[in-house]
Amino acid sequence: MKVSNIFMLILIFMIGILTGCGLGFDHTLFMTKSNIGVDIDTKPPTAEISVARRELVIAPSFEGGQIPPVLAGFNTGNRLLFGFDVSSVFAGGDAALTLSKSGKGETHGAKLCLNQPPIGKPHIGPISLGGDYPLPTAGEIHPFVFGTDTSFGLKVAWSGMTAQFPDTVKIGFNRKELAYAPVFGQEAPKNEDGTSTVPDCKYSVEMPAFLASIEVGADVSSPQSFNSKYRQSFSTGAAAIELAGDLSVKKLMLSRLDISSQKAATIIETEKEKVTKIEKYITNSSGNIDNAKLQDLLSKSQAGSPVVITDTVIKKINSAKTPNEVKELLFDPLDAAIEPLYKCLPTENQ
Amino acid sequence: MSATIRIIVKSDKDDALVAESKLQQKGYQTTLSETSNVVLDGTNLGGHLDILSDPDNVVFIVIGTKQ
Repeated sequence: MKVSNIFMLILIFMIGILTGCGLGFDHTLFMTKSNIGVDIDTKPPTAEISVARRELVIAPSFEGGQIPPVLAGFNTGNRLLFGFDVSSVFAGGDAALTLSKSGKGETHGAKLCLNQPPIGKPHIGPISLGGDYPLPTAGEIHPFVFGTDTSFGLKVAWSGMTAQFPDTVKIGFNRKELAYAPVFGQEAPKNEDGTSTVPDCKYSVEMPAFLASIEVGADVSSPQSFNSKYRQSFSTGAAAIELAGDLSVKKLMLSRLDISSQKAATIIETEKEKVTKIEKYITNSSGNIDNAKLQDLLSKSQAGSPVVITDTVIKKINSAKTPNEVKELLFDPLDAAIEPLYKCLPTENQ
Repeated sequence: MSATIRIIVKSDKDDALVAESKLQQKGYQTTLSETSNVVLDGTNLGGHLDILSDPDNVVFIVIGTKQ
């Protein structure tokens, strides 16, 4: 990090304290900045790629080293003359925790548990700067600032001299993400004798959930197959937590974790699509199970895959009362039965 | 509500890792073990007694538990 950048950080921090906004005490500042420039040309042969990424968090840290969770992920893949991919995830609070683990989101999952209400006392070394920063608590309102700024530009040129491949690709991607979130504290209710009703979490600390994600991809292998996608999400509160549990968003993070997770996420997405088609096929016009179709499907798939579609599996599927129950059973735990059943769907239903 | 336990046996480690990750993404707590001797005894439930092995004598067991 450059000296000027360090100076800027200290300046932000000091301004935060001196203006009384409690940055790093009762507020968390989380920001990232990404910039990618790609310039590939065949005349003259040139390949320039520059990636710049900055991340910063200023957050309060409490007893035991606990910190309100934030998470940022950034991924870029350059296919030179054939395309370009970039994805980014930016989250805090319950949404960050949900993104970092498997399963769906849980409200208040990122809650920090303390033994007593914390009070911030800013100082530089031994010199006290004066003032106390208790956390805002029940009955108080504090602004929450959250925003992103994105620009994406793509230029592809085909001269015809390089067959169907482009001879010039220029890409620019720039994104800034910022969240300035208040950190709230809440004391657990007390019994009549003054002891806490929640001894393990006498005082809890949380910050609002937020999530921003973006996925940009461009396939430029030929003018005929030119294709680009742009998907972006921006959410706060319960919507952010719910969305963070969605595999399509998790996948943006998983692509940075490991290949097994990425493959698993892709398999699950495919399974979801197939199970939805199976559900649609066995649903009659009243929304109930079309038993004739279901039994026919089970019978055909058992004939084709007797090791997977066993009598026990058929019995379990037949115990479902609604098409949705069949769908949920197939998704988990009977996911091994999805493929044999899907293969036996009429072609027009696949 | 009772827990669901899933046991998956794979002959390839990469496949086992994908199966484990898949269970994790579906909300299971998992363990992955490598062994050469796997005996499945479901006879008390009217099921099969089976010995699972692979030509190179190594199999991978993924056990997932979901509440």
